[in-house]
Amino acid sequence: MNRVTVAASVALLFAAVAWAQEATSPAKKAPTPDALQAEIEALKVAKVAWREIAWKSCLLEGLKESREKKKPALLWVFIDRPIDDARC
Amino acid sequence: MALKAGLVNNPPNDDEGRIYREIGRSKVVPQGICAVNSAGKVLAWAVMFDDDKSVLAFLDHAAKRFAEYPDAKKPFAAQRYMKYPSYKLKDIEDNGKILPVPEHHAAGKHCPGTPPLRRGTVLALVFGRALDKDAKPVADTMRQENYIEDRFNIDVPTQENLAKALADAGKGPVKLPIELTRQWVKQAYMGVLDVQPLDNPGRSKGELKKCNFAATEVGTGKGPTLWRVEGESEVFIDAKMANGGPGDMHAVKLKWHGFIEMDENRMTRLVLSASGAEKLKFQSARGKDEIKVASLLGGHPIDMECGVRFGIIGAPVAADKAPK
Repeated sequence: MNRVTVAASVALLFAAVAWAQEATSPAKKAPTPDALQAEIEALKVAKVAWREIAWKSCLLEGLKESREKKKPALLWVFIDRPIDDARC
Repeated sequence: MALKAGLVNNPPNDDEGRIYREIGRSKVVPQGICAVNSAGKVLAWAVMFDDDKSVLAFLDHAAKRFAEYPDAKKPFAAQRYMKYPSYKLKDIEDNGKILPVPEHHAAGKHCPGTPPLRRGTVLALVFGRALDKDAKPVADTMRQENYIEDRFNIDVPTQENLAKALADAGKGPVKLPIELTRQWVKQAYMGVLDVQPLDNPGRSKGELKKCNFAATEVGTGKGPTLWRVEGESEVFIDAKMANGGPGDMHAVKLKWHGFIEMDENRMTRLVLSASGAEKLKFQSARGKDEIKVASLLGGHPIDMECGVRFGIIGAPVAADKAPK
């Protein structure tokens, strides 16, 4: 795991349109689901630091890898959220 | 090796659960970073860090402890840092128990970390961007007030209720069930979990001021039916949000459009876009945090007021995640 990535991600883990203006909207509404999905996928940032971490979700699998690689396991412990959640 | 360990606070009652319990025995608070060895014994906890360099120093520290205590053969205490390395709490002594660590889950047993979903459940992914004064996405995507990814499930009964509403309405426009649209609106916000404007875990649950959505059938082909969706939403929460303080508030006002594809009583595709404005003040009473990792508990101050855009893409979960 990239150490700089970890530092940046740990910081993240825990952690103008005036309000009075009307909502901004795209100039043109996408005519098809495919076109709209392409617009939405363009919102996704291709490379963000926290996504670079290959988080596991199974403790047994993690401990097995720890034994095999002879490295400690780093656990992110959090409260009552789905394990595949992306917001913290 | 990095692991999301949400079950430390709610462990199952089996061998894996007993390892989670042992990890949780020394926790400082119900969240944090914890380094464990291959037997699941805690090497060290850290809730916060003095600075960015201290995060890396903690990893080095954990590696050194692992070299000395790689397994459960030799007893050792769990170290606990409220802030690494300057604020160390009392160690928790080894209880001498050596817990069995299964290689894998028993045949036919699903990992409790990822419980199975009912077949047909729709997994919806959410993307959100804060916009600059030119209505372009803000380039800095490190902070969640600028960029979010999120997810939620749309369960089968909700889809069935939607199918009934659509069937009863003919070609529409038909008002969409609130149980469905409320989920969309609830997830469309920037920032950390504590600032969620609807169903907030704090003293206030937030207010759904507007949630009006309608769908009109488009296309007349055979097979799945396609519905065009239009809607408006507005949510608000005051300073009673989790970890909120004087002057804090969060408001999101959006216009929505998109598509729902239905195949009989199941949703087979969801594509939604929302644009609007968002105002968020969080931990306003605090000064600006220069060192983010030194104030992880409760989050960091946020002061934003800008245009926002969200997108939701949903599809039925893969068969391996929904075996039944």
